[in-house]
Formats: sequence, C-alpha cells, structure tokens
Amino acid sequence: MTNTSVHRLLDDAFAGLPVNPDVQDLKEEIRANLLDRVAELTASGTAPDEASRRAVDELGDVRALVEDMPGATAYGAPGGAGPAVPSVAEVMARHRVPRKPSYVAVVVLASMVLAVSVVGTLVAAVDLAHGSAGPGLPTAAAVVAGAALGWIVGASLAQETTTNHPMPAVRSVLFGTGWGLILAGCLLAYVHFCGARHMWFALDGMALVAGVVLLSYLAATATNRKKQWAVAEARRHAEAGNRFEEDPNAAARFGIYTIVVWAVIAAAFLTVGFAADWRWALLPVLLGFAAHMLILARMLFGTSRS
Amino acid sequence: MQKSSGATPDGGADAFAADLLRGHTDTIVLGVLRRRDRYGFEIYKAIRDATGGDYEIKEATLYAAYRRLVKDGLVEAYWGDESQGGRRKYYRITDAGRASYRRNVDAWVATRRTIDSLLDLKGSR
Repeated sequence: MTNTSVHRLLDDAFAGLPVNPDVQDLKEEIRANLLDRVAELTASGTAPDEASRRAVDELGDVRALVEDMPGATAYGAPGGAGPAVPSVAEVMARHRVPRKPSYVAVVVLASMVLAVSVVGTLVAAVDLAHGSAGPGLPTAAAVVAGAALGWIVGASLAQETTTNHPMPAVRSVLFGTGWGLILAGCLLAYVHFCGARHMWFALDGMALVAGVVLLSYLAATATNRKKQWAVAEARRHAEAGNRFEEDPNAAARFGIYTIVVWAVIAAAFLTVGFAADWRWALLPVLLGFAAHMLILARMLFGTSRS
Repeated sequence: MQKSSGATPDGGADAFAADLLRGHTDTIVLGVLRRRDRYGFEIYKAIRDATGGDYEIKEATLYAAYRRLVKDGLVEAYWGDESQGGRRKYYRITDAGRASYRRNVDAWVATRRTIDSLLDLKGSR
C-alpha cells in the first residue's frame, strides 16, 4: 500500500517530463530517498498514505530541477548532443510492472481446477441424465468451478499492471463473487436440467440474477476517486471547507441528533405497526429520513455563527 | 497546512537564515560528506538534525547541489548494491572537494568576522 502510493506520487511528479537516462537516474535516486523518508514518517506514527504525500510534498519542485539539467529541455531536441528520445517500447519496458510469481503460479493452478471442474460438471451431468450417477458430484463440481473463476477474476483485478491501478480489495472480491455466481448458476441450471429437477431452477436463477445485479452495481459505481490525482483534487475541494472538520462540536451535535432522530423513528415504526397497520409503518421512517437529511444539510451548509 | 514553499513571510529572521543556509548548500553538503560516503536521505537528515529541524533545505535544492558538485568534480556518485527496495545513490567527496571545502570554510570564517564587525559598527542591536 505504502509503496504503491509513493511510486504513484513520484510518477505524478515526473509526469510529462522528458524521459531520458539522466532524468530516470534522478528519479530512481529520489525514489530510494522517498522510501526512507516515508519509513521514517510511518515509524513516528503517520498514516502510510499521509506519509507518502508529505514525503513527496517536501521534495519541492522536481520540474524546475529537471529543466535546469543540460540537454533535458524537451522532447524532440533533434540531433546534436541531446539524448535520444526513447521509443514507446523502451518507455513501456521501463515502466513495466512485473507479475508476482506467486500470483502467476496460483492462477495457473486455479485455471486448471476451473477447466477440470467445468468439464467434470458437464460429464457428470450427462451421467446424471442417464441415471448412472447421483446429483452430488456435478453439483459439487459446479460450485468448485464458480469458486475457481471467482478467485481468478478477483485476484487478477487486485493486481497492479503496467497500465492499470490495482482494484481495491473489496471491489475485486465482489467482482470475483459476481462472476463466480454467474458461472455456478449456469452450470447448476444445466445439472438440474439434465437431472430433471426443475424446481431447483429457482435457486439457480437467483444465483444468476444475484451475480448480474452485483456486476451491474459494480459497473454503475466504478469511480476514479481513489486514484492519486483524484485524491489530490478532492483535497483541494475539501480545503474550501467542511463544517464538520472545522467544527468538531457541530459533528458531535450531529451525532446526537442522529441517534435521537432514529430512536424516535424506530419507536414510531413499531407503534404504528402494532397499533394500526404495518403498511403505514414505513411512513414515519420516510418522514424521519427526510428530517435527518434536512438536519444534515442545515448543519453542513447552514450559516455558521461566529 | 504546513509551511508552504518559499516566500511566506513568517518572520523575516527565518527567511534571512534560510537564505544564508541556502547560499552555502554546496559547502554544507561537502562538510557532511567529509567523514564518510552518504546517500541523499542521510545527507538531508544530517542537515536537518544539525539545524535542529528549524530551517530545512528543500530536497530539490539538495539534488541540484549534488548535480553541480558532481559536474565540478568535487563529489563522485555511485549506486549502492541494496537488493531490497530502491537502490541508493551514494556520494563520495573527492580531493578537489576537500580542498574546495577548506577554501570555502576559510572564506566563511573571514566573511563572518567582517560581517560581525560591520554589524557592530552599524550599531543595530
């Protein structure tokens, strides 16, 4: 985590600068020193991300430093003593993020498990249709196939590649779960079709729908907000002022209001539900939610008394 | 949030001291390297600790100084052989560097005497 963050920020600091051996040399030198500074900051109790940010902030203006370097004016600089502009392939090679050997080994293994279990499911399902085998084997194989696919998808998304940031752990787990559910749902549906157990289709369908819903949710909530440039942007916005950060008392008051409002909502929900009709019990919840949001808006953006 | 770069006038005395220090960056780096070879962060830390953390020389300034010193042959750079993490670039002071350091220190001592007496003559404080 720490390291990724420092390397990203360093890349950002060097973004757009000419790539030549001198600049690369400087960058590598700075990288080692930054890592030491981050280690020092984290040892004194700073959070890793904050430590990375501070270390890079303390660096000062890298750009001016590079522009002072002889023969590093800009891209291009045709002929003369200027260093050769590296080809795209060279740049790619330099920024290549190597695969972790453990990841490669386990993915190969998981792929073999996946292939065997998919084929196993199909074969066992045919046996089931002929009545020469029970439903246990194909069901187990389908579940294993789903788990293997889910693992491959999740683990792959969590990897950093040359061109992509690593996906956050929770999201990659959800992606893996989604694809696993879809595969397991399809395979189980086939098994139940062969075994003529049609009432089980409901469960298979549910797994399938759950997987699709999960993936749709993930697609809809894809965001850049965790990336370094977005974090930096958000920090600039945040400096415009967040009432709760400036005024801890307001935050504490809001916490108390929240508890009171939701306690009243719960009481009203139960009272209306038991006394009148459960259909009307949602009304106080809705009203309470609206009140809650109004309080939030008023406390965050209301006129601050000095 | 923290001290922003350069020109914030948070006390003229601070800015004055920082300017003085910055003017002697090269000599300070040579002085730090006199005992043994060091890499960037060690140099940075040595300077920071020596000033009690009050005036820090920006790291970018230091990198510029290393380049200048290497170009002038006062310091040699070489990569360390760390296998873990980033490789460190070490700096070693050359004989020319030691000579330059002694010359600059002599010049500083002489200048300091002059400035001391000039400031006393002026009677400001």
